[in-house]
Amino acid sequence: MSTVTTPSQAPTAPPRTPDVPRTPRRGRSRREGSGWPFVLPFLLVAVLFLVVPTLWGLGLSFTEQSLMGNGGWVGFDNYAEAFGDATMWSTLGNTLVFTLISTVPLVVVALVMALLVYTGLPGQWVWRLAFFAPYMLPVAVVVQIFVWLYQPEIGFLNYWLDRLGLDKVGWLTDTSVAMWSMALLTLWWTVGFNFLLYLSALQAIPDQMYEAAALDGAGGWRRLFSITLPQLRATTVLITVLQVLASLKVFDQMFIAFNGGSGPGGVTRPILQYIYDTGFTGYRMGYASAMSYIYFALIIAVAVGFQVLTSARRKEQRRGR
Amino acid sequence: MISAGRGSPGGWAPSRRTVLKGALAGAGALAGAWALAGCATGTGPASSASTRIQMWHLFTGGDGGIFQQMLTEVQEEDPSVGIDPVVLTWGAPYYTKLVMASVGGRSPDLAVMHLTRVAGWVPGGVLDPWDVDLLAEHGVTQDMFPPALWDRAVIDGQLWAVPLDFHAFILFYDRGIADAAGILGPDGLVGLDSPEGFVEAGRALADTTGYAGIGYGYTGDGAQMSRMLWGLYAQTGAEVVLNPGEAAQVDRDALVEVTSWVQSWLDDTVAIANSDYPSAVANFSTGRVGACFNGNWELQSFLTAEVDVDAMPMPTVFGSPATYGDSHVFVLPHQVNVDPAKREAAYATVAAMLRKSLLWSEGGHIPANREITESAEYQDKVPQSHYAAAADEAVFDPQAWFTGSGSDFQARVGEALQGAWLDKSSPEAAVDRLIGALDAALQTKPPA
Repeated sequence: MSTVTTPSQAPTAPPRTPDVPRTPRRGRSRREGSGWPFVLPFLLVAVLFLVVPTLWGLGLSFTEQSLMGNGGWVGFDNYAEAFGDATMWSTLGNTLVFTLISTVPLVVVALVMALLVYTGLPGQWVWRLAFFAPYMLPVAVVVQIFVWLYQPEIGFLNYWLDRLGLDKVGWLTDTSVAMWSMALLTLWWTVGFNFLLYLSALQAIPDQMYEAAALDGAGGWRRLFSITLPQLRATTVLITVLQVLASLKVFDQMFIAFNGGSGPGGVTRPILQYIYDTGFTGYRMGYASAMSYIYFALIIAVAVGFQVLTSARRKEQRRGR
Repeated sequence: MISAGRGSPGGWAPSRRTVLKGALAGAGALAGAWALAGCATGTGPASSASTRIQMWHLFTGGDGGIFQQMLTEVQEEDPSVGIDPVVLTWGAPYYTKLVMASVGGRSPDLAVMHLTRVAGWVPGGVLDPWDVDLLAEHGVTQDMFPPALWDRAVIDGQLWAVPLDFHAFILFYDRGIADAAGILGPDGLVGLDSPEGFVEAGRALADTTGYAGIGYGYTGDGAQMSRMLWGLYAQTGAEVVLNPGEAAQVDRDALVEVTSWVQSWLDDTVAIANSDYPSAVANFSTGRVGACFNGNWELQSFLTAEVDVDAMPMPTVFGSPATYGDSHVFVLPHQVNVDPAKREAAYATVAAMLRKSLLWSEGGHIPANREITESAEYQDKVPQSHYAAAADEAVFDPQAWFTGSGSDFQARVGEALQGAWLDKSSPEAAVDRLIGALDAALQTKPPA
């Protein structure tokens, strides 16, 4: 928008031409220079702890480096081994399963909670606090709470199932339940953040829209589907992207809940834990680095895929209008 | 609607600036306290010592206090050596830290680790061998130790570890409940020396308690499953040989026999099938079960719970006596430039700790020093002396670079067995999965 004003100012400029081109340039460069001290600390930390280790890891992935310090160049052997490693694929599968069964409820439940709080419930701040509070807890605390709830013999959940005459559930021991238990725990823990994002997005929808729709005779459901949800689309995309990336990084919950183990039949071990186990418990740093890079490539592919998908849709929408 | 949206908790809400200030002050206070605590731990009782050595160990539970007491007494006897202990939580990360400290050239002068992990470390050069002659000068000789422990500490003709103890996977029992169930003889439990006898005894205990007979917590815990499996497997007389690059040499039938036998008594009467470590401990502490398989390190918690507790080595169910366990050992992490005075102090400290190890049995562990376990003072200790025989029939995790306490492989054992023991799936399938995991691990090149 600011470009509109420039041409109208341009005619008044010529009298001062000798100075004009020089001053702004000098001013701009001075302003740029004055920014460096602020950026430098971050850059330093980023280079030291992000860029250098990332490149170092790439180098490691072509060696059979052990944590004990020995090892030499092996070329692409690690990558070849990884592609034939059934455990890598199965743990990758575990991570993807978790991402799927955690992301969907984390988006849907957050939306429902936000809608309920925004439209119906009195005492909004109480709900906001209650829903967001678990997010403030450290992961170790959350997992400890849930491990006690999930206890097979003396846990709260199985105690009440038993009292109600239902079968006890092997929350952490049944191969088909354990991952859901992890997702449930994660839902309780982090849904508050998505809830807050949705709530603020709801508050940003102009009231006139609802008023106009009400005047036209739109009911509650019509307003929900024709105004609220379309207005929330950008937020939903944002939350989904953030959530998918967060869920792909899952490690802590399983690592703590199963004491560094891999869950019943190995079904809860995410790929990051397999990489950790390989590198830091099995000491095979080279191979662990190679698997990290394979996974890294996959995450980048997902991120780029998202980008392409959303920007394509945005273009379509613009064309539609 | 909008006013509800903007509703604030009330007028007391602090401004952002005061909150930030408070948070900063709090963080500063915490950091300060941490720094002070860091200073405090550095100064031991013998701050005037001429030689100071740093020792890493992993005792944080009840045995941590006892270990510290031993260190204090050792330093009081010989004030010329000061010991700076670094205590780290036991678990896989302990070994990661110790290896990284060694590789980084900042290794401690002395460290405690598990005997089963030594084999994986020797090829990498992170340990220095012990000089047997120098040990003998300090009064530490081979004949002091049970052969099972010493032999495992010798690799390629060199001694890499000096055992402090053997900590065994034993059977605790409640004297009162066992007596009421009619299985208590004058010298402990009777009739447990056959697969059928053991199950019958378990039923008798269950009849007495009204809940279950024997506690065994294993779900989600590969270590607990490894302890049961390899201990019983050794009782059948079978062996395991793991050579990198080859298929695992195991007796599949013996593994299946052991696995199906354990499956048979995890029937919610003899033992609760879905029981994890803490609930098994809780059940035995509260008398809901009359006996309990666990490591001897739980002795103190049972005594604290005022159980009328006694204990015995693993019942000899399959013929030849064998009790699974591991051993805490002293090792010399590799030093680039060995300081002779510190090395000497390390040898002296280990010798003194071994002489003090009567105290070590308080924590439940069986001292490796036979002069202690054969002494009258130790024989008077009950129930410790009742299971001390476990050290003479000691069996360990199969020897390979990837096995042992705190290794990732114990989780693979757990993955394989839990299905058979908890979900009652086929023991053959579980054993095949286990052998598959062994073979896969043997195919990977050992890190060095």
